Amino acid sequence: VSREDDADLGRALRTIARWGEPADIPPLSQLVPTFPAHSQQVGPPSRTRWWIAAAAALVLVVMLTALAVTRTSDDSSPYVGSVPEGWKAIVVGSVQLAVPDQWPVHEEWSCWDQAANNVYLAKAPRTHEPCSSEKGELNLGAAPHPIEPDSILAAVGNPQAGAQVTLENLNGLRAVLDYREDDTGYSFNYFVVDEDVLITLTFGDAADTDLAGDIIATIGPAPESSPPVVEDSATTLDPFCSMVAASADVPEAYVGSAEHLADVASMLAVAPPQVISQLEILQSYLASGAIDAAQPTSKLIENWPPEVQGASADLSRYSSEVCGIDTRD
Amino acid sequence: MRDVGGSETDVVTGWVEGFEAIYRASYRSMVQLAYLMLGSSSEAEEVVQEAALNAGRRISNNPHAYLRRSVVNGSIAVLRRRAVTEKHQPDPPPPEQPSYLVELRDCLLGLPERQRAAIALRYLEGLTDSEIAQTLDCREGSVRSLISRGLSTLRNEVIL
Repeated sequence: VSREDDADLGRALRTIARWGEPADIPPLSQLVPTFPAHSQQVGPPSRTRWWIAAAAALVLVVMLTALAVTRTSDDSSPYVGSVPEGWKAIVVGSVQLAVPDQWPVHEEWSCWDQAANNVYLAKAPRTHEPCSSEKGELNLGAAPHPIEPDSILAAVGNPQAGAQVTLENLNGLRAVLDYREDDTGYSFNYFVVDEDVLITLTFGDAADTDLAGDIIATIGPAPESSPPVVEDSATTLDPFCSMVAASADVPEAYVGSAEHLADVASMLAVAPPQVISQLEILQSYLASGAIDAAQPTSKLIENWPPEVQGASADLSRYSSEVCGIDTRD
Repeated sequence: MRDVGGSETDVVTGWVEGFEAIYRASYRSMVQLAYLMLGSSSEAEEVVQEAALNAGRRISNNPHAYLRRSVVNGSIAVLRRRAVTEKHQPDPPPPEQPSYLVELRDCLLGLPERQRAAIALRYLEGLTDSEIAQTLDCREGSVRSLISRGLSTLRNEVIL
């Protein structure tokens, strides 16, 4: 599943959601006739309630501060590293995960006939003979570097129906997920890119969704291994941020050029849902020919229509907050 | 200097006014979110109004997130009520819509409720795994699992 497909799905779902858009917004006071009175009936002064509000504000400040501090180092969920009771820890290379005690673990490489509720592990999977696509393993033999979902998809060729390939962040580890599903069950094939490890988890029962989530949540760096290297956020987050980084410092002549328009189209292909509509607005404006190379003032954002200025501001904000790249200068 | 009572009244009044602004700014998107989960605009509006009623009565650090969570939980409650009452028919689609969108909507409405919620939150609200996990009160790994399984069903049943 390419990012274009992902963007298409997002657009389709947003269109469907608009079918349910309300004609108007009923005033809050009409929904809750007692609500305005509620604010006047707070009763006698109460230090307790005042302090609750103050404490809530303080908690908000602390949370925002913590978010700002942690965002630059790791956007993933906290990796506890603990092994739930009745589960066992498995270490492969410098990656650890945990599965229920009764789950068989297969560490010798072969083209397994996979059974449900098993875990299959392989180090340096690209050095092994590839299996047929029906076997279910992620065939990484031809995958070029750097490994990204699209290159994996191209290398795998035409995976069996139901396969999806996406880039995931597993508690700080970059991983390519090849998710497969057939009549007998479903499997998560995680190729942990930087550790060169393949982990395949198999499930047979649709009710195992929560179990799958619990197991996936345990995948992370092994305790004895070095913590994952925190690279520049533009290279670790996703291809979109990498493209933003590449276009952050460009000459004036670039604005409105054919190269600029092509770059926006490329960004659109890998953009996250939050910025697709803004990129589409920018793309339409650039394609309209409104920017005239002979008139430098037409390249100034302040001279663009408000809608385009707004989209540009949103993109800058996203680039700053998510990619850690300031494009406003 | 104002006494504590004045401060309290200010806090509550400020909260009410602030929440009203959040409510007005969020109403349409929240109805759309509920509609994706329910397939009925009238039920979606009822869920959002009920959620706004509840969210407006309590001070929270992040009222928008609280409202969104209330909308998702309210929608799931409606789905569970439906499961024990009668077969629900979604709203007819607007005229002249492409058939694949109608198929996609119907397939989405056939997903388990948490898969439906996770996909709506990802693709409509643009939330991260972490934010979806907080909204659905589950782990991030579960979010990935819910979305993977939901998308697989959509892609197998609807040609996108």
